[in-house]
Order: sequence, then C-alpha cells, then structure tokens
Amino acid sequence: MMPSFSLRAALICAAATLALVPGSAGAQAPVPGSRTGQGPHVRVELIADRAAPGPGMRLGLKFDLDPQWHIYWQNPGDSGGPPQAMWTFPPGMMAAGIEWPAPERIDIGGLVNYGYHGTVVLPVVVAVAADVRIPQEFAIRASVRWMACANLCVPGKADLELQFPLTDSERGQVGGWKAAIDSARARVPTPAPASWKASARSTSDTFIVDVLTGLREEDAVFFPLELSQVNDSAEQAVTALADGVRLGLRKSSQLAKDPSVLHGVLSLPGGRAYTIEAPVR
Amino acid sequence: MKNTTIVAAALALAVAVAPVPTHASKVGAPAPAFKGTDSKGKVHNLADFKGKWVVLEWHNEGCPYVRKHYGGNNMQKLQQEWTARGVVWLTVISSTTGQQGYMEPAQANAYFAKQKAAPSAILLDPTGEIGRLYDAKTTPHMFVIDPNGMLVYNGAIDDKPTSDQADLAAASNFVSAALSEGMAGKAVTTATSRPYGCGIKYAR
Repeated sequence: MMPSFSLRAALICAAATLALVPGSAGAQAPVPGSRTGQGPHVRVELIADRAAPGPGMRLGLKFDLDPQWHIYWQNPGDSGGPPQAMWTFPPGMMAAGIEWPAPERIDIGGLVNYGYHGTVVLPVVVAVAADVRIPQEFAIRASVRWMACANLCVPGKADLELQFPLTDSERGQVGGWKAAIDSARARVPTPAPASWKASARSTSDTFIVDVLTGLREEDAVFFPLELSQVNDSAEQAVTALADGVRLGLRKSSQLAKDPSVLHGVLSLPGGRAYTIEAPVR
Repeated sequence: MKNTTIVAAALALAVAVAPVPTHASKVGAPAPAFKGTDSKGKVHNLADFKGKWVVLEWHNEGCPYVRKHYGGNNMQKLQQEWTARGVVWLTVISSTTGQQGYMEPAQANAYFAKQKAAPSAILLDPTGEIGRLYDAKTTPHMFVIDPNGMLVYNGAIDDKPTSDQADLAAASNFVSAALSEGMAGKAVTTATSRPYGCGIKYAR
C-alpha cells in the first residue's frame, strides 16, 4: 500500500506509534476522557469503524473546520504542517499510520498549501496482534496537535479518548462512523496501474512529467510526496496527450540536485487519485 | 519520436526565457542583489555588506511558528550570538499593509525592543519585492550569504517543523550550522531544507 515514505511521513508514523506513558493518575479511578475536542475554528472527534477491535480495524480523526480554514496533508506545501497524533493503546494494539486522502490545492495569497477544507476524516490503521487477548474494557487515547490556517494560522491540540465497550449511544453511531471512514479511504490514492508509464525530464528550472495512462486526460494536479522538489506555488502547466497527460512542474528553490525519482500523487478529474513514481531523466 | 520533439521544444523555450525569480535564490549562486529601507529609515544594499556574512530572517510577529522562536528566546539568542561574531542579521517583514505581521517603522522598533531582539536591522518590505526576489515562502524562512555574496543556505531555521516551543531544546539549528561551517572554511553540510512556518502575507 505504501511503497515508500517521505522523511516527514516516516517521522509522523514514528510519532504515531509512540505510546504515551500513562499519566500520574495514581490511585484515583481514571476519569473518562472525551471523544471530542476543539481548538480555534476546529472541532475534532475520535471515531472507529467497529464496536469491537479486530483485524483491519480503522480509527478516524474527524476534523470539522470553519469555512475558509484548512488543515494540512502529509506534505503541507509552501507552509504549515500536517496534524500529528500520539496514541495510547492497550497491549496488542498499535497505530500503523494515517491513510491520507488526496488533498486539495489551496492558494492563500499566492502561496499554495496541500490540505483539506470543511469536514475531513483521516483514517488510521490499527494493527491488532492475533495472539494477544484484548481486554473487555479499555481506552484508546489520541493526543492530537494540528495547525489550522485561513489567512492566519492557529495551532490547536486535543486529548481524545474512546472507551470500549462503546456506550449505547456510540453503538448507534458506529454505522455512520464507518461510512465516514470508508468514504475517506475511498479518496486515499491507490498505486498507479501497472500499465501506466510515468517519466520526468529535467530542464534547468522545470520537471516535465509525462504520465501515460492509455487515455487522453484533460486535467491533472500533481501533489509531491517529497518536500522541496517542486515549487508548490508555481502554476502547473497541464497538457492533454493522446494517451495521457503532461505536467510542467517548476523546481523548488531548495532543490540542490535532481532526485532520481519524482514521487507524488496524481489527481485526475472524477476524484481519481494515484501514487506515481516518475524516474527523472 | 513525437514526444522527443515536444520536449526539445520545451527545452529550447526554457533556455530562451530569462531566469525566473522563483529560481533566483539558488544555493551556490550569487545572492540576489536588493535594496531595502529599515525601520530607522536607513537604506541598505546587499552590496554594502561585501566581506561580511549576512543572515536574512523572514518575520511575522503574529505567526505561531515565529512566536515559537521569539517566545522561546531562540531567535534573539541566535541574533546576539552571531552579530557578536560580526554577522549582519537582517530581519525582513514582507507582510503587506493590513495583513498580519505588517508594521509601521515605530511599531517595529517598539516591538523588537520589547522582544529584546538583536538584529542588525529590520527591513520593511511591504511591497514584497525582497521576499519575492528570494522566493521567501514562510515565516521564518532563513538565508545565509557568504562574504563573497554567494548564497550558502536557503531553508528552515531548524529540523523541528512545529510551532511548539517544547521542540526547541532538541532541535538542530541549520543557520548556526551553516555559519559555523562556512566561517571555518568548510562546505555547508545542509545547504537547503524545506522552510517551515506560516505563508508570507504578500501584496497580491
């Protein structure tokens, strides 16, 4: 599913899998935490796609943003930074990373961010060990930090907790939570079909990327998965080809030397999004 | 082959057009020449600083990432440390009128005094001319220029791209590293990195 990672994504994954040391609650009975939290212009919720843990389980961090405000994709673009979560699980369970839905290109005063508006769910894969008995009662905790920006940026954080077994009211909501997580997963880029051919040609200040899909593609947006390869704010010059699409991507000022491969997400009309690797020639 | 012809044409076009400003702030090339007015009304040319190391720091007082470095006294310490060693430290504000971070000269002087900041000068760039010349993206965004006027560093202030002050202690500072290595006559190990922060509030 994830053939290679950017450094940042790897770091976030490492952070996501770090367990927090339980607080110094001492002898007191633990106070149930909240499943929901908020910061300026942002409300966040911890949801799950099932009422009892098991293989293939997903959690979701559901962000609900005020109009005009956005949070960030794994590569935030010109500015900002992606949300980060530190997880606490019972033994035998751990977070195995966020599945990032394809982002939008967001122009703020001529600089471009990659992120999300409105309501967005970030699905989180949960690894459940087959040979460990998960107790009847347990809590999953997420300490979430994010940066939200409109024209201005405001950081936010929330400590969320989902208690199992779920309450009756939560059981009634699980169907909706699963639908929201599944819908977000449907927008996670899939690897490009094996029949596609992607390549990049390097000129002095531009990468000319050809993606041959077998069909004429009228439009496309490239979202780089590595930082500092492409100038995020530069307009992407898109040309339809008889059997695909060509994009002209201006190089980043921070790019010291050409990479061997451009790695990114190609979004095509109709909500199609694919991860592509274009060898640079 | 058809594709080859098109690419060759694109290559020819790329060579024919003048260098674009987005690629001007390239490490290893001469730093773009600029002229700017500081908060005391003094005009500075980059050429005035020939023979000295120069640091450019993009600033917006309301940005949470900038507040991390000022609230944690990190930026002030860097300014003190490096200006004491002869470095010219220019803090640049490219926020345009009416946008977050924009400051009138008197406001800037009062604010930086209160912060106990120690830059050599505060350049007010509300037209965004200097910012765009350097393709400065974020606050902070840092550049280091050597005594020959060559750009030797372009990127983030450090390797912890967050707005959290708690991350300062373990951060590795790219600007200090570039200056230390450069002054010792060594090549700069990390000459570029992705700048992190708030987008600069440029004039449209």
